[in-house]
Formats: sequence, structure tokens, C-alpha cells
Amino acid sequence: MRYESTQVIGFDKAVSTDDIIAGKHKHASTDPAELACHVFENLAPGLARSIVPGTALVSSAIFGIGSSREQAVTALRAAGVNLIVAPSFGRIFYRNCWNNGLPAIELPVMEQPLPARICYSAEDGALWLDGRYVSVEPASTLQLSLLEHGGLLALLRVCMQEARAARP
Amino acid sequence: MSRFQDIVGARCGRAVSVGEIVTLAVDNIYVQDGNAPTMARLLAQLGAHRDDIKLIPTVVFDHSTVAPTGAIANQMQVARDCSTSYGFRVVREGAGISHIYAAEQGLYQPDAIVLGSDSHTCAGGAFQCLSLGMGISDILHAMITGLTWVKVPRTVQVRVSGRLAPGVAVKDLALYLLSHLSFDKLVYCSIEFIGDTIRAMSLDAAQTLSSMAVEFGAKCCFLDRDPCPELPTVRPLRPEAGDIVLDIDAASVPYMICGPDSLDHIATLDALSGRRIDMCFLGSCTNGRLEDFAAFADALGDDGVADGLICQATPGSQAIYRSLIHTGILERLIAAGVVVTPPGCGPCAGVQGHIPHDGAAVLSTMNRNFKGRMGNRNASIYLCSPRVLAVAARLGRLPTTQEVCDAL
Repeated sequence: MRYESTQVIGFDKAVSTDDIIAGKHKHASTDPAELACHVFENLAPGLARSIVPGTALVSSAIFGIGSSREQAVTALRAAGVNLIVAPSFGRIFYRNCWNNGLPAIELPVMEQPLPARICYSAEDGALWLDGRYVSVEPASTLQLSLLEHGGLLALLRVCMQEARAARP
Repeated sequence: MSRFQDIVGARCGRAVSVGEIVTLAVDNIYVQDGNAPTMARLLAQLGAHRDDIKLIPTVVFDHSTVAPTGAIANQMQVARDCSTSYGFRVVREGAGISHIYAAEQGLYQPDAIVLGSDSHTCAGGAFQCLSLGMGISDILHAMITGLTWVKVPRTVQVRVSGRLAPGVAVKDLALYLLSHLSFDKLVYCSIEFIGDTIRAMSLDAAQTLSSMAVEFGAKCCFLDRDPCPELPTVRPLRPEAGDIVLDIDAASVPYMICGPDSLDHIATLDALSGRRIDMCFLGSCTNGRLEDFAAFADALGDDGVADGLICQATPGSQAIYRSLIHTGILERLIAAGVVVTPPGCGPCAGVQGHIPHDGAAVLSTMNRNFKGRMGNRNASIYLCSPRVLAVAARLGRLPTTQEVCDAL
């Protein structure tokens, strides 16, 4: 599965899921499309307007620490983010990303200046930064399955239907 | 062999290795009201029926005990209606914070596997429960299949020996440890807290520490405990189950403070003494228990809250609230000018309680202080222990170490 980002936004400090979507918004709505315009409101007001489909977020510090709020991922996806690259991720955020079909890629060091375009191949564990190849950990079988199905919910639908068929 | 590997290995019927991904049966699930509306939405998207749910969750209304806006009230009703129609166990507004309720109701058991839709589910480590915070999709997966997958983490150990100085609290210890270990060096680890200081902690104090494990980046934690009437089946942790990443003498821990916006700004209290404080908050899943309120009341003494300072206190559960009444602590707080609000998360997540004004300096016993967390990005949030909070509430500013000692 290949992902292409034609816009890259950089972060140089640790980012929390509170930074990504504030509690007052994620408690008021469950619609990712409504939450999308509020991403990064506390950290960088107005940044949400810069995010377009095919945007990669690249951080030089840990990304997604703190709260388990999955809305942080779904709001970013709805805003148009299709890749996140960081040296490490908050554990729950990392899992939420892959569960929602958003590749979260661990890369120890991203050289400056940031690339203008990023391509990612999940099976191969390959990143291309303005065409320059960088090796990353290939996606696991589980991660590939999540990407192929578009997320955990789709896999869960299959589980549920199989369980129903097996019930007397 | 780490406690994580012990528990998971017993479930799998074989030894498991670090880095291995295993599928496990889940014993218990709870969902808090910040994610219950999304749970409702996803169940509807799935077209799930009542008999598709294999593991019934407990749904706790704790973040918005009293709904602050119409929009949030509507979401709470969606969550309530969904939970009722599916036959989920509903824990009503006012019962308390999910993690404190879970502890009181025995959901955290040694060696049990418990999932919670909140990052502070790690609090169960005080009971040697393998308790994991997860996003709502993972929670839904466990509800429908009864299963979850985990990647076996590396285990590290943090040893604390000796006795904390009089008045120095486990919250000070937690901030001290964080200042040494940071929030990004132990990502995905299981932290085992060992040493005689840990074994001697009260259950309230142990939960203060275990609730903070996620702030170290950890997946989960386990505290070394001796069996006691409250915890008859806990077992000592194995020595050398992981690298010892920090080994300290508890007596060396001073009163601590965390400056605004990040857990990167932890210092000894005296580094920030004198800063004006506009609002104080006692509560949260880290410091909303009876011992915390007792320490606060003791340090507050007979003086009232400083003029112009807003002081809010939120008991962590209804049981704790009742204890505040029976012990006379509630009367002392009211007399001192403290605003005591219904049990729950309080203003911690910015959706319940006093929102700080622009430019406000808030001192709190919460566990994290990200910019805007309490509902206003133009306020600054400092973190401390209940005793330090009380002295600050009296003085209207951050106190010195000596001033906190004088309150003993």
C-alpha cells in the first residue's frame, strides 16, 4: 500500500493529543468532520486551515502523548492528514493511528530542511523524501490488514458477521 | 521474568518474549463519558446488536458530571441511551472518576486484564492488575470479541528505598521520578516500581503513583506490594525482572512543582516560589482520594483561602465525598472558602468545573498540564501535591519549602 503526501508540516517539540484536539471540542461532537477545523487550536491557532488532503505531519520529537482520545486521529484524518512521521509516538495514539488506517511511522531522525513530498510503502518499509530513499520498519501483518481494510472497524464488522453466522 | 510476562504467559499457556504480539482474553472493560458517545456512534455504524456484545462494559459518567454546555449534554444523552439499549452497566454522574470507581468496586484485581477507554487506566497497577488504556476502537473490538492484542513490552524497574520526609507526598515522588526519567524515554515499557518505599505505601498513595505511569510514556505499571487485608492475593515482584533505570533514596525527594504547559518543566518547589496563583484545584484520578483531602485540610489549617483566589475541590468518588462529610473535612473546606463540586474529574479536562480566565495561573494536583487542557489556552497550569496546594491556596502564591514545612 502506498501513500503520497504533497504537503509536509513540521513540529519541533513534543505534541500531545490535547494539543491535537481540545477536550471542549471532542466532548461536544463525535463527527470527525466537525472536529477537523479545530485541530491544533491550542498549540497553533489557524494551523488547521493549512492542512489539506495529502498532508504529512513530521515531528522531531515524540508525537501524540497523553490522553487516549481517538478523536485526535479521526480529526486529523478528516482534515486530510495521511501520514505521520516521528522518532516515537504516544503508545495509545500509535495504536489509534493504525486502527484508523493512518500510518504512523517511526523514524529516528528527519533531516532538515523538511521534504516537500513524502511517499511511503507500507509493505516494503520504504520512505521517499523528495525522492530520496529511507528504510523504515515494514508494516506488520496486522498493520497491513488494518490499512487494507481501512481500519479496525471494518475488520470488526467481519468478526461480527462471522460470529453471527456461527451462532445457532 | 517480568510481571507482564508472568500474567500474559499464564494466559497463553507458554512463555512469551518481549516484542511478541499475543492475543488475550479480556476480563473487564470500562468506558468513560468522554468516549461513550463515540462508542455509540461506532456501534451504530457497525450495526451491532445487543447479542453481538461478548463482554459487557461499565460506562462511567465522570468527565461531565454536570454537563457544561447543551452540545455536551446532548452527547451525554446519546451515550446514556446507547448504554441502556445495549444493557451496559451504567455508573451515573456523581459516582466518581472511572479509575477510582474501578478500584473501589474491585474491577482491578491482581493478574486480571482490564481495558479502559482512558489513558489513566494504568492506575490499576497499584493492584498488580494488567490494566491498559486504549482508544475506543480497540475497546469496541474487546467488547465484541472479548479479545485484544498486545505487544509484550520491555520491563524496567524503578527502585525507591527508605522513607519520604515528613509532609513530602507520593505526588512529589512521582514528579521527582519524572524529572529524572522524562516522558519520552520509557515509551511502551512496563514499569515495575519496587523497593520498601513502594511496599509501605498506602493504597491511596500507591494509586497516585500508578495513575502517573502513562505520563512516563509507559504502557502499564506494577507496584511491588505485600499481601494485606485489602489486597490478599498480590505477590512480590521478581527482583531483576528488568533493568533498573532509577534507584533512589526516598528521603532525598523534596517538595516539587511542575511549571506550565509540559511535564518537561519539573523543578524543586523553591525554583518557582513566589509566583502568584489565581486558582487552585484539588482532585483528579491522581490526587482525589481521602488521604489527599486530609493532607490538604491539614496544611490549610484554620486560615481561609486567600482573597481573590478560586479554590475548587472535587472528590474522586461518592464514597470519598461521604468520608469527607463523616470526618468533618468537608465542613473545614467549606469554612475555608473552598468550592467543593460533585465527584468526578472536575476541571481537569476542561469540560466540568471552573474554567480559568485569561492569564490565570492555576495550581493543581492533576497529572498533566498541556496548554489549554482546563479549557483556556491563555491560562497556565502548574502541578503539585495536595499539601503544597493548600499552602499556596492560603498564601495566594507558590510557597517556599520552609513555608510548607511550617504547615506540618
